[in-house]
Amino acid sequence: MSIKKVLLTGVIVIFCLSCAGIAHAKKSIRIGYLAALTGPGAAFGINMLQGHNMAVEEINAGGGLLGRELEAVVIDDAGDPAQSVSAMMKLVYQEKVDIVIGGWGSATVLANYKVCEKAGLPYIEIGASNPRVTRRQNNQWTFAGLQNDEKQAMVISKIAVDMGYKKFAFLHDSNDFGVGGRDEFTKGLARYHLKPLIVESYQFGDKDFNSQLIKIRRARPDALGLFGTLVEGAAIAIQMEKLGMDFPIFSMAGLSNYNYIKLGGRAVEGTICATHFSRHLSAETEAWAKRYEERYKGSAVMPDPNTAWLAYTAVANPFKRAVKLAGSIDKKKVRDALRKVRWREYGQNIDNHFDKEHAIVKETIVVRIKDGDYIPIAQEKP
Amino acid sequence: MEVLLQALIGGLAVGAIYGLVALGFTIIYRSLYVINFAQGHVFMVGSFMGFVGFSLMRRFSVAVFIFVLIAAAMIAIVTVFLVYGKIHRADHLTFAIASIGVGIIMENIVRMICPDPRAYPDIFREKVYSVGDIFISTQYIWVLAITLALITMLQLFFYKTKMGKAMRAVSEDRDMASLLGINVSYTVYIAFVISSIVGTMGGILIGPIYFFSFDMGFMTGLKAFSAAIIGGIMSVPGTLIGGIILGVTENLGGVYVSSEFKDAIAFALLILMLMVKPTGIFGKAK
Amino acid sequence: MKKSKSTANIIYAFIGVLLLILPFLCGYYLLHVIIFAGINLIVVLGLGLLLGFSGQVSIGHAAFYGIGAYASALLTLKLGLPFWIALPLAGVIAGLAGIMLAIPSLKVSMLYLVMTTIGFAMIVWIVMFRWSGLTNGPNGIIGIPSPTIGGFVLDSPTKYYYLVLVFSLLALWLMTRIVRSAIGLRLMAIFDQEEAAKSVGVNTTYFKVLAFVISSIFAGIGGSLYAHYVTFIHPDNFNIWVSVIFLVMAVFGGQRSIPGITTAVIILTLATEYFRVLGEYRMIGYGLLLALGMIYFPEGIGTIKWSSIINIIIRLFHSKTQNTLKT
Repeated sequence: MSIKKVLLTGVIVIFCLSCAGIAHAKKSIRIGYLAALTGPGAAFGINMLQGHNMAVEEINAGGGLLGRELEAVVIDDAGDPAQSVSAMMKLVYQEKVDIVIGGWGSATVLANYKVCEKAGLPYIEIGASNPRVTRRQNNQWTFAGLQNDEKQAMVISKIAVDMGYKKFAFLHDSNDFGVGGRDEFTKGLARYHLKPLIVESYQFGDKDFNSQLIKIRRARPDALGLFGTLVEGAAIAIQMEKLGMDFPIFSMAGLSNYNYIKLGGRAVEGTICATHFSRHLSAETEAWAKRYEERYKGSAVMPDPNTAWLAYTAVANPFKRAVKLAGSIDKKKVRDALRKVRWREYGQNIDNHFDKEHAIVKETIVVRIKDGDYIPIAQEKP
Repeated sequence: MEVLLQALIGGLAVGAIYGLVALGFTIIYRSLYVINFAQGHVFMVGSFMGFVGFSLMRRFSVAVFIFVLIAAAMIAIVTVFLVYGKIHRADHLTFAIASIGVGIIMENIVRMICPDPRAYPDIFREKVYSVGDIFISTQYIWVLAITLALITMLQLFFYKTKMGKAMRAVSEDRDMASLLGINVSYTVYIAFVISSIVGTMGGILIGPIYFFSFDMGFMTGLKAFSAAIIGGIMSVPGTLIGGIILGVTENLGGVYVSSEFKDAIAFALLILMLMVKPTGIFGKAK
Repeated sequence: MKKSKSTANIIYAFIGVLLLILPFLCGYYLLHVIIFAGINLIVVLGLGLLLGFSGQVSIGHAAFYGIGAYASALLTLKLGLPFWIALPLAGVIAGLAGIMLAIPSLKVSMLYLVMTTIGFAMIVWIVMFRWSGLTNGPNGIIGIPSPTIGGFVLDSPTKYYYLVLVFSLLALWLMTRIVRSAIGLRLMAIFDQEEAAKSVGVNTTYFKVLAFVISSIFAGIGGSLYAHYVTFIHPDNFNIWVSVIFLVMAVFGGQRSIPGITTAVIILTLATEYFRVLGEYRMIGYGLLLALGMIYFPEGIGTIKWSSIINIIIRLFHSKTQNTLKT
């Protein structure tokens, strides 16, 4: 079989595939939802998808948007930067969606936002907390629906210092999320002329943190700044308890998912972290959380209102209002509207909007884990 | 000093588990001279089944252990029947790729059932003993004890039972073994069943020490594979020791080598060792 | 004779035209996937040489791919070199790295070689991740410039497609020449019967190292093309799993068969995207593709002939009686 035959067959196959393009009814408004449904972020991805779907259902039940039905095209990118670019290309060029919402992980979003910038359609990312995602030259189309680490760190560090903690030890994941959190928290502490006593790191996937913890214990801190994701976080909390290290853990919103409590059990009591949502803030937040849990009870993944909210609010708040304000789904008009639109999320005391960097402006909610739940202890605008 | 001891203790337990998973590689390699890339995923599936079983029973139960091990054996038989048994030529690479496919399937099936990471219920009644500044958790002791018991049973099997001796014969010289009347394909099934059982055992034992998550198979498999090679893939005790070495150095690295490149240094040393003694620390030179 | 030659020419011309006008037949998405297929092809052709002709198994080729990508990115960003100089330099640097891996590989074989390549790949990955001063560590490198020809910037899938097309065809041509050349013959001799080859004076060391170097240069060039297309690279783009996928493609394609490898790369690259129709089961479909592929094409699809399809059907009936593994 010669090369030529192979190439010919291949090209014909490709040609056929490309002609199998799908025709869409131009009537519906299409949201492209990019989620990490496989891979390490799967649990989060599924929860966020639930929030997103709930918002879409509710809008459609209320007659749709601009008289048109909302249709969601969901694509999985496994939270992998390489796959994510292809997934975004599919959403933008083959599915021809009107807006993209989603994304998981800063490395992933940094890889895929370019596709939206080139094609000129709005992208509300809800999975990357690194400030670089929006803070760059010529950011025309990317909006951060997720409050970034810098802002979270400012509030958490203030709370920690106000509570009287001065001697911090840091333990961070060596990936960009952990390093970013560490750097932002260091900046936050620097405002009070404080520096961490000791900084240790670990690798994503590590199971045993005893060597780092013993070194930290020797430095005698009164608090631990933990920057990483919740699986290692829970293991760290458990190992800390065994080593008799009973000072509190401070962290970013990465630990505000209920899996952290489920995995860590007793050991995570007292952890203080940022969160994007808490059901205990108001009657509205509690009502929403109940509605969400009711809708998704019995799913393979434990419903998590803190995580699901991020996707729900992106659709139900900035997206919906921007489209209404723009009066059309013309991409430029929607983007301009996103820059202007204001809303107030359940539980917030200030109006929310996107600042000139396209980063979200909202109060950071600080929670402490008590009796297996995240209890709000403070709420501030960074 | 206490740091060193703590690292050693933790490393021993995790290392024993790596050793168990690594044994799965060893057993299959000795019989068939192929690498089973799904071994790490077998470990993960075992951990999952253990999690389900113990969560349902809510208390320690030997029945769950046995049930899970039987399930592991059945899964092994099914995969051999459906996939591995059909690879007539069994070129190492053909098998390797097929096992990669099987591993992907296992990982994704479990993901669809249980995407959340999960902690094992506290049925092992853990107690932590403090000796000075070091803590010793009873889990570690259980893990080591069970692993040693398993290794002993395996060695007895290979050296004292007819089946075990038959497998060793097949490993030495397949054609001769066949001529001598040994049913070679039967030994293949046994090899996969045993390797599935030890991998599953490892998966159950890691439950109390760490968590279960559907994506833990790949990296663990890779590390266990390295452990088998370090210790000597043709030797059962060698493989176990390879696992322990891996577990301990993983921990110790963090203690003594503060450099960010400690893992890179470990791999470099591994490569150097392979150049000097490719068959591993306890391997017999061929 | 004359008639078949002219029909052959017509077929070549047809293929050529199709390849040239492809961007106008496909949407950006499909074109994007094809670009990746082209880049993968360059890497896997090199791996195929190593695997099929010199019999050395490498689960570390993502390291050379990554070295090429990072080298090219840094040369253009930090030293301001133009893409057309950075690309070959990236290949050279990857080739040098290939020498570094080839040397320990001489001393170990089979299983231990696999482990050595894994170790090498892990070392490279760790360095990418931790040497922040050079590689920007876990933050990755952003803003890699697109190649320019004259004033023309290759920053869209359509334009980049032609670039990758040229390089893929070049790689195919080059590899075909190598394989049929003295190099290819000697490598096969070494693979098939190393002692015999030595006894007739073949310098086995030289050729084994050469195979490594050629394969790593191909991978490095692929990496450079990748970096300048996606403009953002991150250590996780070059992890062990990527190496495994390259190996899968090479084996699926039949190791020694260039048409087989080409087909395998196209099928497997398209599969990861087009299996999305399977929804949640996408990766299960991919796993099944691998498992079934190996069952029905144990020597890779390079050996596919129409008669094989008949054989598969026959085999399906006989498979019950044949469940033994033979070495």
